[in-house]
Amino acid sequence: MIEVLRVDDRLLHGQVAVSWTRYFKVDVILVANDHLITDKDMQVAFKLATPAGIVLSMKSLQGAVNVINNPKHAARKIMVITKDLNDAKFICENTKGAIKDILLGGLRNGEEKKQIDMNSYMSDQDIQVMDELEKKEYHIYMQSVPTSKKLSTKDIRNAFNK
Amino acid sequence: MTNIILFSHGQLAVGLADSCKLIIGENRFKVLNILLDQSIEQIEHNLDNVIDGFSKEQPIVIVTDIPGGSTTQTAIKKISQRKNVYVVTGMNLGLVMSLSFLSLSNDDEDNKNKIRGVIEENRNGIYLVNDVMNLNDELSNNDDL
Repeated sequence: MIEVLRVDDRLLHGQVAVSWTRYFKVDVILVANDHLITDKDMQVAFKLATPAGIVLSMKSLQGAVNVINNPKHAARKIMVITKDLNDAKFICENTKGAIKDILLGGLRNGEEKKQIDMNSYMSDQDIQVMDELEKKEYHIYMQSVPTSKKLSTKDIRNAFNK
Repeated sequence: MTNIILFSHGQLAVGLADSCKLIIGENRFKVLNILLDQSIEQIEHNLDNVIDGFSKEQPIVIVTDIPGGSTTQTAIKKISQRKNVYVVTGMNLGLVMSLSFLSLSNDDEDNKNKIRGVIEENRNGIYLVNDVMNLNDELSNNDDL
């Protein structure tokens, strides 16, 4: 079962590895990223970041889709991580409703992005993808760590349009 | 969440509490640092004040920076003076975060076992990263984890 899909441009780092894995009590971290599978340094870093007792699975986007769609992992509690909303959309569209919740956080600043939360910024295109996913009934929210404030899509849009 | 006192020479404890906040958000830390011009009595008095900030029956973990320092030497005295005081030395970020997630009770033996487990887990988190660089796993796109 997919507990949550985290969108975070650092993929697996302290907040995700320590706080969110514990919060969702996951036993598998599935990092879905096409660049990662050719980057050995990143792979080593993520291995080191994985808490004891949790399985780390590093896959291309298509590889992650294959894992999610494989019924033999149904008993697992999986957290999927993508670096942006486009990748999240790809995963959602190819996994027939396996994903329910999309947790945004750690979206670094960039061109034409506006600040939404303390360390998250979104572009117009990000908002469009978010709206599109929300129309398909995905539950989307933004939160950096479990004890910080949770922003709904409405809060996100308000912050964006400010 | 565990009641924790971070106890260091200089600003280490303050900085570590700040780092923890960034990663895990809210926590139940109190920090105490010792300065060069403080007497041992003054240091102990300050530690007692911090301990008194927690309610009497609650377990407290005092995390100190180095085993041989005045921090640990002062903290040691509290083990026999108050119920449910645990002193852990070898302060680092991973260790403190793991400790903060424990739920301690009034069962002394159980508390100690939980703390020992966290120490063991974090001991394994210290290594020469160069030694783990030669990773030979081939990543594939198949549907195995």
